[in-house]
Amino acid sequence: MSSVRPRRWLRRGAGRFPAVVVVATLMFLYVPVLVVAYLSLSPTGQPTIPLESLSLRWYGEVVADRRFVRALLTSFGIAAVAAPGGTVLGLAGAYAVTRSALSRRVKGVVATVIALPLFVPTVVLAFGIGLTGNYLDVGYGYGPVVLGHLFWVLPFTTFLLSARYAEIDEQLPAAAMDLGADTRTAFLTVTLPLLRPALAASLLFAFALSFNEFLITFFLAGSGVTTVPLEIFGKVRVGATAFLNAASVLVLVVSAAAAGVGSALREPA
Amino acid sequence: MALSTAALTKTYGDEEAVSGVSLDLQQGEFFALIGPSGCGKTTVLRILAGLTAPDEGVVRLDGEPVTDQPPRARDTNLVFQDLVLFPHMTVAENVAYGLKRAGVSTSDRERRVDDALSLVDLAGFGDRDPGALSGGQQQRVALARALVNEPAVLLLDEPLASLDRSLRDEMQAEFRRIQRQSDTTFLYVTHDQESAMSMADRLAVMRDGSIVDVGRPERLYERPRTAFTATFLGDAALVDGEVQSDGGETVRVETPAGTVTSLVDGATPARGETVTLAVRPEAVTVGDGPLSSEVIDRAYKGFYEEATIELDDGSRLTIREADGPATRDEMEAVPTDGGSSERRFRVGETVAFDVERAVLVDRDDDPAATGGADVDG
Amino acid sequence: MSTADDDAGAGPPADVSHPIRDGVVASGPVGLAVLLGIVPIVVLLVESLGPGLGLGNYAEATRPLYRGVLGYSLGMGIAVTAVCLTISYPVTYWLAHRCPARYRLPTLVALTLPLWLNYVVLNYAWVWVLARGGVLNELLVGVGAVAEPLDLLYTDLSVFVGFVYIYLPYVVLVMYVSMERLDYRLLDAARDLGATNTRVFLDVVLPRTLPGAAAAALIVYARIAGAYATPEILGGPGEVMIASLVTAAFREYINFGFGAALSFVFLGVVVAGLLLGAAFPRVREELTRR
Ligand SMILES: Nc1ncnc2c1ncn2[C@@H]1O[C@H](COP(=O)(O)OP(=O)(O)OP(=O)(O)O)[C@@H](O)[C@H]1O
Ligand SMILES: [Mg+2]
Repeated sequence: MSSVRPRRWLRRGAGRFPAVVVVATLMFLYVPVLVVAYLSLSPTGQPTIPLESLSLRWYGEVVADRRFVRALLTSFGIAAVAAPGGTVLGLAGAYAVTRSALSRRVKGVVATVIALPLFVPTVVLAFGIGLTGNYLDVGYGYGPVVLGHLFWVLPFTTFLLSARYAEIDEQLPAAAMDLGADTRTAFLTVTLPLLRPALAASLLFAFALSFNEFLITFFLAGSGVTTVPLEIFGKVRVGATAFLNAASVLVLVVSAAAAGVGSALREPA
Repeated sequence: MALSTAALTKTYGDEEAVSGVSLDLQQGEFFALIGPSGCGKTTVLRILAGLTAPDEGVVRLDGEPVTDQPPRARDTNLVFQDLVLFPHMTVAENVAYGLKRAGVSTSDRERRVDDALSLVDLAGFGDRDPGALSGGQQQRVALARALVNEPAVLLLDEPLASLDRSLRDEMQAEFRRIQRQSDTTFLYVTHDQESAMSMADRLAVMRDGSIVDVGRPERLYERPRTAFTATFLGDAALVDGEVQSDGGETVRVETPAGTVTSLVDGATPARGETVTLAVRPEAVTVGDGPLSSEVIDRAYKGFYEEATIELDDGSRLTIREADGPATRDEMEAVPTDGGSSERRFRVGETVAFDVERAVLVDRDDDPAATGGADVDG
Repeated sequence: MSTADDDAGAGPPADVSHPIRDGVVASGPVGLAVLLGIVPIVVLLVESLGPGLGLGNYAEATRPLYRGVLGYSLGMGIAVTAVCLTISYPVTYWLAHRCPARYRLPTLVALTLPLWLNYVVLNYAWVWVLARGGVLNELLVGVGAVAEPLDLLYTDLSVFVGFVYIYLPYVVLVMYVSMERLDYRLLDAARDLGATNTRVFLDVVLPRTLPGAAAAALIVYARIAGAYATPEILGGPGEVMIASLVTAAFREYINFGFGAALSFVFLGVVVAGLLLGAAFPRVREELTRR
């Protein structure tokens, strides 16, 4: 009996090992964020650990900072175009790769081209895009940045929506048409309602992706366009401050809210 | 002609799912299309509904060619084999869908939806989610969704497959009633030959994309033209033999099951020709007769017992005999000898029999050879 | 482009192909992807060969100095990927096969939420953890583990940790998909046949999930090797990574051709890796799954 015991202990120990790693991983992921959140409450510009007292002062400073607010509005504006635009394009892409009359081969090519940003290193793409913009002399500014963001979110929206598209019985629109619907009505009354949760999730994820996009914007936004990630990146290189901590927390809250609601929508109730 | 087709053909890749199907359905007729799995029944229905375009051929509804018309321009409705209920709509919304498309007013719509739901015995289920219904209930929703539109031709793709027997019988009677009352033409696809024969005015037997025989159920059963029809409808055995007589309504054929007098349809075979006969179990008398063979298998079928016997050339015949009442002791005794002691037939025993009638059929291993001609429609 | 299935006219039967309409629908996303994906790569290629269609830029880009940068970047990518996979295996195994069902989804969301957060900000958070006056050093000095604060920030180590931090959620997500597809009954069968935990892992879990892991690795190591923000925020003046070189070549308007050649050498390595992976049918399947 006693010889069994240590073995069982060993086995239980080994069985628990993965759970321990999960807890450690979650701590690894969230402790740094909590540290920044804590240090954003510093009463002084240069937080000292531990903080002597807690204050919301820097949130006030961030909200009152013209540069930061302008960057925030810029980011929101770009994401407000890129999210619906990317979702509509993603819907077209999802239709093309799942339901369209295109041949298997063409569908494969379409999917690969759309998936390009997932395989090609972003810095290479961003450099190429920046260079192309240079040559075309489109000038820097909002237009190219919005296009770049649409391109960046496209694979995510396409594959999120095509996963949902593939779950919808192909016969459903056919049944609608048999009952008197034309192609458009069948799409509007059957396919679209069934895609709706995925479309909402796609909108939110695309919003988060665009809001956080850094490298392509960095290469395209030479003058004029400063998004929040660019603004923060510029400040980070100057030095870590309580102001920056507060700004970081705001950025994290915005993107976590979009992604959190998106995840909840994507999972069927 | 409520619905007719000429030489419909549809190819998927290299495979001809439908080849040269021609059908003519009379106004108000109950027409069944039967055939084994994968023979192209669903494809034919989809072509008729306008959901699949044929590669060749013409579809006419009420005499008008509609081959190029979209589904909504055809006065047909399809009950899909896998139902395809709209998962995001309630039962009532599903049923109302077609009426809405047709612009029926809300009050009319509600009344007709209620009527249709009571017709399929689902009154009060309107607010349910189709996903929260049993398989049989879902099937009835699918029926109601098509019926409510009162189409000129109702296309049904195995609509009773997942109902239990009593509900199925009830629905079959219901179908016949609706069909007579509404003068709707029914095209009913199934691979259940029993229900096809009991309901249909006429039926067509399909095989490998072609129609091999069309006619009234009695005709197809009693006088099948092809070996395939004979074996698919009921369970006729096929026996080869040599023709002994010339001409006439009947021929005498020398077979391993003795000399059998067989009905002839079409061309009379010449003396000495080798032909195939279809022999139904009920055409074989058991117990006495000039012939005898060994029983190689037996099966209890309720009110009768069935046995398979093997003839000299290795071909097999099915024979039947009504089962007399067994005593209680017999029924409860534990079988000691393979369970055959108290039975009509015993495996290994030799039985005497006589073949009373048979039908000359085409050996149609090549379905193209028999074509799809509509013989008595 | 407005709706995916837009056909106002009298529609022919539903399975009749609409190649033209569907071509128009596909042209929206494809056009965008070609304009911002394919065209720039072609522009880069042309640029890398100029001026005068020579290989001069490539000769420059493959000098030992830059080969070293490429090697360091790829080495960093491979090392970080290996660590991410090592952590992901037990995590996703637990999540897919041990975790009580009602905690599974929340845990998965918690583990992958950082994917949707801003990596500039996330990397910045580590400055506060690793700095001389940061949380970790305060803690270590506080408990007396070290006498002097350690120089953790702006080193290879801080870059390494920053990369693991950013890419771990991605690897977890991909591995979870593989792990979830692994039939738990296989594990039970192996245990029933007397396998220990280690043997179950080696004989069942590893072989069944390796293609997914390989596919994840092929994508992640390249992203790390080509990352810009993390080494800029957490790295020191010592080692340079490839993205910094490319960025400098672009931003400072020096020698686009050199930057383009460097990009192409890097792209070549990445593509070679992907092709090598795609040579294994099961890895190819995983790569095209996304
Ligand atoms: N969309 C399609 N693509 C490719 N092949 C198809 C398609 N639809 C049907 N087929 C093929 O055509 C043949 C006929 O199919 P169909 O569905 O019409 O058979 P069925 O008689 O309805 O069979 P079942 O009784 O099993 O429903 C089958 O071999 C099938 O594989
Ligand atoms: Mg079928």
